[in-house]
This record gives sequence, structure tokens and C-alpha cells, in this order.
Amino acid sequence: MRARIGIDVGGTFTDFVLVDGAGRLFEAKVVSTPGDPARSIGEGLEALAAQLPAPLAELLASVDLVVHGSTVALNALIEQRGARTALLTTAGFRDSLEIRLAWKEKRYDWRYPPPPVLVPRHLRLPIRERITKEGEVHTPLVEEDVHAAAREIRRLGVESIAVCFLWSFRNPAHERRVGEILAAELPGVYVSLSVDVLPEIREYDRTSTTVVNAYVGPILRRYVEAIETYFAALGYRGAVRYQQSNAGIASGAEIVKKAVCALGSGPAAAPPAGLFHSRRFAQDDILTVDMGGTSCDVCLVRRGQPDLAKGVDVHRYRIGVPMIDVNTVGAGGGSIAFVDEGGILHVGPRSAGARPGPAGYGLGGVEPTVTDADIVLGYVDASRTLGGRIGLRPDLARRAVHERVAAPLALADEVAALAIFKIVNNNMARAIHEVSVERGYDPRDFALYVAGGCGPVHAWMLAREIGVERVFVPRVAPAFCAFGEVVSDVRHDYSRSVAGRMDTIDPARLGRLFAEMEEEGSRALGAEGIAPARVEVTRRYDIRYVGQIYECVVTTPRGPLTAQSLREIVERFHGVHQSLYAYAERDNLCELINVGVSVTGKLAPVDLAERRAEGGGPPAPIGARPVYFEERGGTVDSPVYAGDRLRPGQVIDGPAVVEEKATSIVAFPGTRLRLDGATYVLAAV
Amino acid sequence: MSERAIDPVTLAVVNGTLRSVTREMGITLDRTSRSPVLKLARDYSNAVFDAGPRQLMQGEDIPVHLGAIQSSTRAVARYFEGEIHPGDIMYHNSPATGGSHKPDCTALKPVFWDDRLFFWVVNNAHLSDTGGTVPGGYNPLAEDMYAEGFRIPPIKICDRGIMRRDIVDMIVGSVRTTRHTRGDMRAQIGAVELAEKRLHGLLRRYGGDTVQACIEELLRAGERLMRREIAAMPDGVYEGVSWVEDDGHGSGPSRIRCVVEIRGDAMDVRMESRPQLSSYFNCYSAVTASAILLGVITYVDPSVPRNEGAYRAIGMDFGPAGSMLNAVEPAACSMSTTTPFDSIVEAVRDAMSKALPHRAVAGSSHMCFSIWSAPDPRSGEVYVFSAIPGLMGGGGASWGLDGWHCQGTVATSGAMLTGDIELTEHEYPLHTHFYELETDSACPGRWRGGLGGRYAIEPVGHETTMSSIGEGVQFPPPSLVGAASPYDRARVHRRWIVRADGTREDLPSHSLAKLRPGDVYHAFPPGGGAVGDPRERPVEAVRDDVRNGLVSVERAAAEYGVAIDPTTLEVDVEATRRRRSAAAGRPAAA
Repeated sequence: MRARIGIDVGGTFTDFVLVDGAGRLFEAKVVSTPGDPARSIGEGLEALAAQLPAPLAELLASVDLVVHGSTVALNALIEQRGARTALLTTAGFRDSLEIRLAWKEKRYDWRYPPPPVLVPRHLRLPIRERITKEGEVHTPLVEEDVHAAAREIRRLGVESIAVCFLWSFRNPAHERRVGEILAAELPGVYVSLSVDVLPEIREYDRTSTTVVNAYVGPILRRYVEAIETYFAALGYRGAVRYQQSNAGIASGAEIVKKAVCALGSGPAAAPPAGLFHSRRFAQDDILTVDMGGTSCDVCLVRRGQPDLAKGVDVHRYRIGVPMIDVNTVGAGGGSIAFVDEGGILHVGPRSAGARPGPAGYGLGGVEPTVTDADIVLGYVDASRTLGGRIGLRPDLARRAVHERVAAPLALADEVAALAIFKIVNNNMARAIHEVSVERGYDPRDFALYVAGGCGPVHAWMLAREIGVERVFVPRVAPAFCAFGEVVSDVRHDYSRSVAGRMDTIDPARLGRLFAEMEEEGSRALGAEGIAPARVEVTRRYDIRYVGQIYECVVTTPRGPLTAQSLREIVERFHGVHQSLYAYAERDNLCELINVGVSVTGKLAPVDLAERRAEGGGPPAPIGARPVYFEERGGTVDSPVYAGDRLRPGQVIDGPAVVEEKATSIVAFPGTRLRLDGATYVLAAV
Repeated sequence: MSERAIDPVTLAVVNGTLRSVTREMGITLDRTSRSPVLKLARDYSNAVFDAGPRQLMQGEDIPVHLGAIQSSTRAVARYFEGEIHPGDIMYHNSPATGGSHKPDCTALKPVFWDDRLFFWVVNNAHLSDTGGTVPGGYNPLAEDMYAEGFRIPPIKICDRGIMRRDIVDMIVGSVRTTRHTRGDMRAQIGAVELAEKRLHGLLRRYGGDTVQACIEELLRAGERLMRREIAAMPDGVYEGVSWVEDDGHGSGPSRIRCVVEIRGDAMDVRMESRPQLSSYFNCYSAVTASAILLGVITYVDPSVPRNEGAYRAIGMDFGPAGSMLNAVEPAACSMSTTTPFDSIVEAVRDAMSKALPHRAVAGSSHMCFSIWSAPDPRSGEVYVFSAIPGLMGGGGASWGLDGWHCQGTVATSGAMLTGDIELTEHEYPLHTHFYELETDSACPGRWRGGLGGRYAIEPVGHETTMSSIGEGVQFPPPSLVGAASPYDRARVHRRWIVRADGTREDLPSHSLAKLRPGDVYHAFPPGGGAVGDPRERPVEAVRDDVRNGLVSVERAAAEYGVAIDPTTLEVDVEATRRRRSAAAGRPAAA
């Protein structure tokens, strides 16, 4: 294998991972430079090269794949900095984007505003046309309306256009014709047709997704151009790929067409990172927990496949394309602890963010955070400096915990800190519960992988909280997603609407739809250099009982379709419904709403070099520090070990702390810690 | 156990588990139910009670059950006292025993631990049909509750783990939508069973005594928080008034009066209304209680828990038994959850706005809708369709925020969904002609109401029966604190049929009609009420509304005093100054 680099740009830090040709793993972390991402990327690449050590040009010559995860699309949406966008709709249906199905998220909050509408009403332009649900032309397309819209769009300086007509997925002729007219009249303007972005029933989901695609598309296009130009200028000759929301990677050309698929770029890399580590232990049912500074991302993976969700609201904007189902909760190191007027202690979801950050950063924060509690308890090394710049101030951490939590509740400081520690663990456990128990899975049947800068401190107690006796902490935990990016495969998702009863549907018609999507997927993968032998296909059926409005998902491999195989799929649907909702209706009719296909282009697997085993002897601590353990009734002087000196097979019994470059792994009393390959395993003795 | 002895961590876990239990019941109903009123209008509520039964937690569900879910649970617990067993599931819909109206059916499951009753898990769901004369359960001709379909007193549908198939078949066999109703009942049962499983997990982990101690503390915390909110309100006696329109039986407008008395950290709310009517506009006390609580909590921080402890600080008097807001058998009441519910909320909010004008929330559009029913020509099966987009008028403005568009009645407060046009056309034999926002439909104010809609549909390939129900056709939603609700055809519900031959037939409320292919039903639900003097609305905001077609050039000048050039859509600054200063001497109310 040739070398690969993963680059994950976050709000505060940009993480880098290099796996070189010998399977050696290198990491770097630099401060993000949002205005000029090339700068932080340059710094990080230099930092990697310095570790080899080698000149940057030599490093890049050894690399054949750079994978990039970036929140650029998501941030454009959150910060409302997308392109000035117009929307063409069927005349008479101009407002579905703004009416949002009348959905108000907080109905007991009378001062809760709607989200800003991405396309204001005067840029939503009605076009006379109408297709029926059968796909027949009810009102022919009035082309003069499209020309008039194009003139208006030119006059108003619009950069991007979304087109979404009713029932267009049944008969795309009108949308396609509009696409042609706009391409001819407005060259250079980014045009998104709903039949290309999400050819599925539900005009609100389709409109919203197409609009988001158009809104972030031009921003992402510029970004991708800048990245590709940057690497070309460095003389890099390998491939640059981008992490998508579906946990797969794609070329710049593909992701620019479907920019909405870049919204989850970053966090969606956690499942591949977890699966990479779990392979060694032959686990394919895993939970990944990535606990960073402001939030905690939880993903559930079954049979080696992360759960995908459709129709979720991302920062209150409906997204219909499948995304890795990342359950994000406000439970990070910066989450603020407070006692409410009723005397009840809460932790998060409000966060101190990067600025001022936890009180213990000494940057002006006065509210106690999870990190402050961890400092008071001795779980985090108070002598650590963050990013080589920020020295910790344990006195300020203690003061914040004392004043805002311990004093109001009349508790000792350590007891108050422990309460914060436990409540945030419980909040994370509930997030795990939401993706497991609420969907019919027992979290104890999953291997728990805990990562992120703050995760390793909390890993063991989180495991206890959900009732498991073993937890896995990858050494690469602080750069987990950057690592996930280099071990991801290429992946594309396609869908078609069917809307027919399972007992009457024609298997041959379904077969044609699947063939069409599989062909489209193979073409895209071919253009990305994937050999046909490395292509894997998964089919997806969205099924519900007649009369319901939500579907359950059944997936199958590629294969011939017959009436019998459709009956088996129905049987599996009953099972899914039973496990999700505690009942099934075998006496009821089922209907198939959408079908979908995921095509995956498998890349050569990454192998990490093992550290040489050292003959004999337990590891020697590099020091000791007082650490609070409830089991011991107070503070215990605990040995501290350096992670980079541990050898495979060595074990450490708690209480102890292992220090890695950017995190600490806490081994509680009664636990035993072992380094197995690239993973720490913490288990009850 | 003293307050001190409770571990803050355990308390947080118990609180979080109760919240996620109500949420999970909601997810099950959301994702698996069939009735349009349930799956789209999301007309359901979930709650957990202790053995008392005292309400511990209510989900983020629709407000119309705030009080009703408590009174139903109390009535069922009382009825079965001494006969409550593990594995039982009870069912109930009777307004005379604490229910709201008959379509709202409540499933209740007692949860046992250590051989004693510990919790009740409850959900309340609006089903498609209740049998009776008119599909959907809203009978505009009813003069008593017997004409509104079947009544379910407290019954068991599952006895010690054995489903009462006979009883379930009797219920689903009494309605037009047998298959959907059976599916909805299964969803309700699935929801309470999931809830029981989760609560058993909690009890297993912490034990009954600890959980009980936490419950007591959560109720005390709710009470402390509510009392603190009330203590911060200015003491006094405040009066509010609202109106209910004619009931279709010649009642004429009915006046509702509310007196709120705030003293220290407690308040009393007293309602006055006329004697009960011989129509579906009466309220049994459960719905009146829900409306009062909603009106009050509008003025309270949304983070205050909605549990029995919090409600201890609020005294309620519904007026004499036999009055419109404290109806007794055999009063008809199928509209009560929206009419007079909406007006009760308005009277309470009107009174409260005099104490706290800077928290004022104006009225939302009232409930006025149509229900369609016929055999679907594609399958022969009878459908019952609520034309939801046609009833979704604008939400009321609040101090500091324009109203939300198309929110529908305050009784659902944003829980109700319009549904995708495509899904509706897929499921029903209907064709939609248009669905958009309606210009000038909102009341003008410094914060204007949300806009209402314009909506038109037509039956495809069959003849259908349509009932037109509700009110809001005479009075626009009320505005508050310096804003007015100028009467205008666009600010009340308008409905008509354009027949295949082009003739237009206006539809009175409380009526029945038939439509054939080519006949197009039109509905124009109005916008919401406003808050604050419209002449104080920033000129830029008015101009944006005009540019976006939410307000016309004419209304911008007449109602907001902002002169805008109809061609360029630019503001005429001088003319605007003249208009706004000339109007300054006059009261804002039109």
C-alpha cells in the first residue's frame, strides 16, 4: 500500500493522520484557519513531514490518496453564508419551503422563531406546469415562464438555482427541460434539479434538500477547487477525495454535484474508524462515541454497516438524502454545569465553546464545565498544555466548580465534580440509548468504542452506565475522524420512488429500477478509478403498512427478484417493525415507497504496523498524581504511564492514568488496561 | 426521606428517563399510526403518572390534553380501584368521566413493581372516526352526546396480559375506518408497553424507594419553579374576554369571561360562561382545564416542568355545573377541543396580557375545517380525509416575534402537520390545485400574525360527502397590546365550491355538501392576530413583507402607514413620515 493522509477540518482544530507505506501512523493537530484553509493544511502537512522526518515533497510523492473531511458545507448552512439562491416551483405551490409542513419544533415556547428561510419568497418563482401522480402531463410546461424567471434571476444577481416540481420524479421531462433552458440562458450558474438530488415522493423533503444543495453547492465548488489547486501546486499527483455524510468518500466532481451529501462530512467518518479497530476483535456490531469539546457524537453500526437516516433535520433544515445517523448531544468537555432555580443540577447542552472555554483554560470562563470537573478530579493532567499554547489553571477550574455547583448544593468540591462527571456520562448514555434501545437494540450487544479528546477520560464510567464490562479506546482517539477518513471506501447512494403495494408490485419493474441505479453507480465509481471487481451493491426497500406515513428499511444484497423474494422482504419488514415498535401486523397490507441502492468501491485495506513486543516486565510509571475515585472514598495517589512507551501485552491495573499526546485514559479501580494493537482495552478485572 | 438525602445524579437520571419515556411513546404513535388526525395532526399526548395518580411528566405533545390526560387517568384509576392488575391495559374516551371529546381515546397501563402499583403510563390519541351519523365524529347537527358516536367508559382491553379481542372488535367494528383504527389501537398499546419496559429498567436499577423519593422531589421542584414564576408577576385582579361564534343552532355569539387573580406565589383563574348549548360547542371540565393551563403557561418560562407539582400553584374554577365551560351530561361536545378551547385560551391570555404585556401572545386562527368521506374508487374501502392544509391558519404574534405561518389552532400549537401534497394525493383519490400563503391574511401589528393559506382540491373519479365544521368565520383572531384585528374577508375562514359549470357556492359552517369530479373545494384559512401598534413596525420589515408578497402595497399604506412605490417597491420616505405622523394622534385600532 502507498501512503494515505486524512485531513479533518473542525471549528477549532484541524486533525491530520498519515499512514505511511510501512503502516506507521502519525498524527498532527493544528489550529484551524477558516478564512484560509490552505494555511492550516500546509502547517499540518509540514508537521507530519517533520515527524518522518522528510521534506514535504518527498512525503507527498509517497502518497496516493488524500481524504478530506470539512465542515465547510455545514458551516455555510449554520452561518447562513450560502449562495444567493432562487427556487423554481410548480405554480400554486410556491411556499412549501417556508410552510415546512407547519412543523414547529418547540410548541410550548411562544418566543421560538422559525429558522431563516434559505430562499426568500420573492426569489421563489412559480412556473406554470403540472404532472399528475400517474406521471401524466396535466398542464404543459409554459416555457415563457422559465425565460421570464431566468431574466429575473440575472437581474437579481442570483448565483444558484433549485428546481422542484410536483411529481417530477414520476416524469422528469419538465424539470429536465427547465435545466436545459437555464443552462443555455445562465451559463455558470449552479443549477440543482430535484430529480437529480432526491427523486423521491414527498415534495417538502425534496424541495428542502434540493434548496440546501443549491445553497451550499457554489460554496463547496469553490472550496474543492481551492483544495485541488493547492495540492496540484504542491506537485501532488495522487487522488484527493472528500468525506460524505454517508460515511463513504467521493471525488471532487461527484461531491460538487451533490453538495448536500457533504453536510455530515467529518463526524460520519467515526463508524469507519471504529470498524477498522474492531476488526482485530472480530466485532461488527459496535457503538462509536466521539466526545469532543462542545458535543458528543454517537453512531450505531450493525453487521459492519452504520445506520443511515433519511428525512432528518440538520440545523432545522430537512435533508432527504441518507446520512450516517449521528446522534449529537451537548455533552462535551466544554458543556456547562449549572444548578437551576429548583435546585436541580444539569450539565449542558450549553457549551463554553473554544472561547472562553472551560474555566480551567484561564481564558476568562467562569462557569464550570465537564473539563473543569475532570481537572478537579485529577482525571486530566493539570500540567498539560493544549495545542502547545494554553496552560491549564486547576485553581480556576476548582473555583468555578465550587462557586456554581458545590456551594449551592452544599457539597464538597470533589463530590460536586463527581456529580458533573456522572451526569454528563448519563447524558451520553441516554444518547446511546436513543440510537440503540429506542430502535430495538440492546447496547450491551455492541462493542463500545470511545474516542475524541475528552472520551478516554469518561470511557470506563460510560461503559458502566450502559452496563458493559469492557470498553475500547483507540490510541488515535483525538484524531478519530481524520483516521476514519483514510480507511473509508468510496460510496454513492441512489433512490427511486415506487409507491406500490408489495403484493401487487411487478418484480421486473423493480429489477429495472435497481439496474438503472446500479448502472449509474458503476459509472461514477469507474470515473473514480474503481475496478468493477471492487464494487459492492446493497439494495434498500422503504416499506410501511398501508395508511402509515413513515417507512421501515429493509436491505438486501443484489440478486434476482421474484414474487417469493419480495415475500421474504415483507417478512423481514414485519420483523423490523416488531423490534422498533413492539408490534407487527402480519394481517395487514404493506406498501413499498422508495427503493435505493448503495454502491461501494472497496479500497485496498489499511494495515497498521504493530509495535515490537518487549520482553518481560511490567511498564514503569513516569510519575504519580492524586486522582479522586469514588470507590476508594476519596483521592488516591495514582501511577501515571506514558502511552507511547507501552508495549503490546503489558497490562496496567487501576487505579492508574495513561497519558497520550492529546488525551488521558483513566483506569478506574477494579479495571485492567491493556494495549492490543492500536487499541486500549479497559475491562473489569 | 428528606430532600437532602437525594443524590443529584439519581434525580437527574430519573427525570431524564421519564422524559425519554414520554418521547418514545410519541415516536411510536408518530411513526406507526394511520388516522390522519393522529399521524399528521399529531393529535396525541403521552404522560407518566405515579400510583396516585399524580402527573409526573407530560410529553412535548399537543396542549389540548394538558388537563384532560390528568382527569381521564384519575377517573380510570378510581373506577378500577381494587381491580388493577399487572398486565392490564385500560381504554377510555368519555367526556363525562374526564375525557376531552370522543375521538380522543386514552390507553392506560398500570406499571407494577414489588407487587404494588407504581406508575401509570398513558397516551391519548385522536382516532379517525367514532361511528355515529357523521364521519370523523364531529356532528354539526348533534344536540346531545348520543349523536356523536360511541362512548367508552373506563374499560379493560387487556386483562392480566390477555387481550380482550371481543372488546377491541366491538370498538373497531363500530367505526367506518376499521382497519386504520385497529392499527392505531395497536400503536397505542405498543407505546404503553414500551413505556412499561423502560420504567421497569429504571426501577430495577435504583429500587422503588429511591425512585419514589426522586418523584417527590421532582414534584416539589415543579412547584418551586412555578411559584417563583408567579411570584415575579405583579399582584392584582385581571380580566379578559373572548367570543365564540354562532354554533349553527342559532346560539348567536357566546361571551367568555376570565378573571385571573395573582396573589404572591399563587394564582386563581375563574371562568364565566352562559348555560350549556344544545350543540357541539360545549366543554366538559377536562378541556376547560387544558385551555386554562395553556393560557397560563404561555406567560411562564417554557422550562418549568408540566407536572402536578407545578399545577398546585394554579387554582381553577370552571363556573357553575351546566354552563358552557363546565358542561354536564348529555351535552354534545365534539368541537370543544378547538371551539370553545381556542376562545378560552384567548380570554386567559387577554387577562394575563394586562399583567405582563411584554409577554403577550395574540390569538391564532380558529378551527374551521372539512372532513371528506366516500368509498375510494380504487379499492372500495371507505376513506375519511381531513383537509388539513385548508384549516391551517396563521399563528398569533408574540411580543418580539411575528406569528408562524399556517400553524392552525392554538389547541395544537405547532404539533399539527399539513402533510405532503404528494403523499395526500397518493393515499386519497384527490387532486390539489394550489396550496400557498395568502397575501394580507395576517392581522397587522408591530409583530404581525403568521399568514394563512389558500388551498384548493378536487375529488378524482368519485363523488364524495363533505362536512364543513367549526368557526372563525365571523371574528378574526384577537390582537393584543396596541394592535387591532381589523375585520376583513381575508382574516376569517372563507370556503366555497366552484362547481364544474363555473358557479361558485359559498359554504356556511356546520353544513354538509357533495362534490363530484370537476367540483373544486376552495379554503382560505386566515392569518393570526398581531401584537403592538403596526405603525411601530420597522419600515424595512414592512417593505420586505411587500416585496415577498405577504402584505400588499395598499395594506402597507393603510394599515402600517408605509408608502411603497408599486413598480419599484421602494419606500417613499417622505410620504411614509407624513402618514405615520398624521396617524400618531389617532388610536391604532381600526
